[in-house]
Amino acid sequence: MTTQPVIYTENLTKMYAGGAKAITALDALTLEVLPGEIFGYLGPNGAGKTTTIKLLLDLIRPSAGRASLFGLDARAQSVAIHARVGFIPGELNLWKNRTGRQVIQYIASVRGGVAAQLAEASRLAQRLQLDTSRLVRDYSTGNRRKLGLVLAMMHRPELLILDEPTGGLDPLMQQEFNAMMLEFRQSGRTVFLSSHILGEVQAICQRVGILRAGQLKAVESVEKLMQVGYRQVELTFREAVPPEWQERLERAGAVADVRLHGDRVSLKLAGDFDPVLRAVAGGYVRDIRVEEPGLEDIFLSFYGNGHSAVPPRVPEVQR
Amino acid sequence: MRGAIFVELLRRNWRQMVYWGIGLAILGFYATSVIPNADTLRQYQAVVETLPPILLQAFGAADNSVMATPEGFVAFSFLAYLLLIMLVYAVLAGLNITASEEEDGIMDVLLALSVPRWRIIVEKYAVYALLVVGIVVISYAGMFLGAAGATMPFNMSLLTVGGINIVLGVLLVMAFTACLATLIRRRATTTAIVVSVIVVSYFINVIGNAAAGTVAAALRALSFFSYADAQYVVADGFSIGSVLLLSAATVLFFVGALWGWERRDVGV
Repeated sequence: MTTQPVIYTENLTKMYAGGAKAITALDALTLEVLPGEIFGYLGPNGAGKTTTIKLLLDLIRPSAGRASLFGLDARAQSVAIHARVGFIPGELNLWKNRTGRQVIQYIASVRGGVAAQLAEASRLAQRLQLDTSRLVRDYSTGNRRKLGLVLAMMHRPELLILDEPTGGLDPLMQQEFNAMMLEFRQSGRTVFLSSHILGEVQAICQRVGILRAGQLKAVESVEKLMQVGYRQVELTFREAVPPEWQERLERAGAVADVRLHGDRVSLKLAGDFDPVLRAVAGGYVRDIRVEEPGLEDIFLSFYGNGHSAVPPRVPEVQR
Repeated sequence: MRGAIFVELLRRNWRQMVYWGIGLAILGFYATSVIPNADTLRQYQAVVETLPPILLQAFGAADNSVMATPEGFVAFSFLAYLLLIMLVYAVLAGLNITASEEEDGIMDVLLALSVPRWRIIVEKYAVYALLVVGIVVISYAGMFLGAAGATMPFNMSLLTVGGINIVLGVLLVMAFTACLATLIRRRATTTAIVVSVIVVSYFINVIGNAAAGTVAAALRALSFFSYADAQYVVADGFSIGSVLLLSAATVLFFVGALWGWERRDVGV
């Protein structure tokens, strides 16, 4: 028996008409998000993340393809879906002249089951240290985000769809948010998290989808993405590095993005160290620093001029 | 939960109804309580007869014989303005049904809840319709209070018919605004179009009235003010045709708003 995905899209496409200037905001997205996972959805501004979320929630209608949540059609059964989903939009705007508490009460009353939601909202607000007696217009960006989290989670949804949810949260609250998401997942529920904050995705997501110019470039486990096969290397020499080393290093093989800065050389290395060390032979190496790539490096490697900036994997040499 | 949007909106706006109502009630009270006696009204009519019709129209006086009655005087000095002021409210309310929250970016939050789109329009329109009725009722309360202390008797039923026309006219403009707002999305553009339609309609009516027997008079049939009339109704009495036409147009635009809202992208 196969597990039914919580989110499923098939060739989901959104085009905005404009004659010759028609824009494809999302291009044939086929994606599955499974129950009980925190799925990170990464991409730069304009990549199509928010478009995807709006299509999933039936705020906008697809030009082609389809989406389903919990096996229900996102278009025809949106009301039933929304009852099971919590959502924070990328730009969270609320009724500015209402207090946090009034907004919570309103949203709870529209959903139904007010008492249980208010109890949960109170618990969440306490945990997030949110003063709900203040007017929304007096909230900082971070506090507005906290209120958004309370609104999205107070009905105990099965799926959270979060569009850049942590902008403006301080580091402590960011940690609290991460803890909340992990608890949410541990209770068997699912999170679809669109984010620019790669550290956050790295910390809490199991799988990541990377979107660029409306196209899904990769869906991988975070663990696998981290094994991209290159390391960031920085060599520090006693004297300034001669310019001709640039070419020598670039020809060393499995090396990319060579940069010389005074007495330092930085590069991306996808293979063995020996060719690099031979290329810089004669120089007095004072220090070597090797770093595994962060998700940010990996992320950038998907966007660098439209080509992978990651050097090709060098096959292991059998010795 | 059904009715939650209605209840919340009503809770947020009932004071607005009271403030608008009190302001207009003071105007109504003033118009009826300062009404002159029959002789003065006749003298007033005589003076008015010397004015060119176009000038009378500009001030909302349709027929100078109407002004010789207490109801006519009130229709001229209060109901004509009540309609125009209430049309401002209608445009604001029509914009608040979808356009304001959409432009403020709040609609995403509301539409992501388990509420069908049509309910947002139905519940909000119902609230604003109730508020319109409330404002007109409060205004009329002020007017009747003034009439109670006046020296001349009023034909209350004729004035009430004027009120019905005002309410129907306001509901129509509100539905028209809401319909345009669901199609156009932008507050400023919607406002510009609706205000233009009202102003053009007003002048078609004014010019048509002043130019009997001309094409301009025939064009009056196209004017909203020919049907949502709070002045002639005092002289001509209740017109079931106008009521049906206003109601049918309101339903048409309301359905148009629902249709436009159901099928389009929101918040883009």
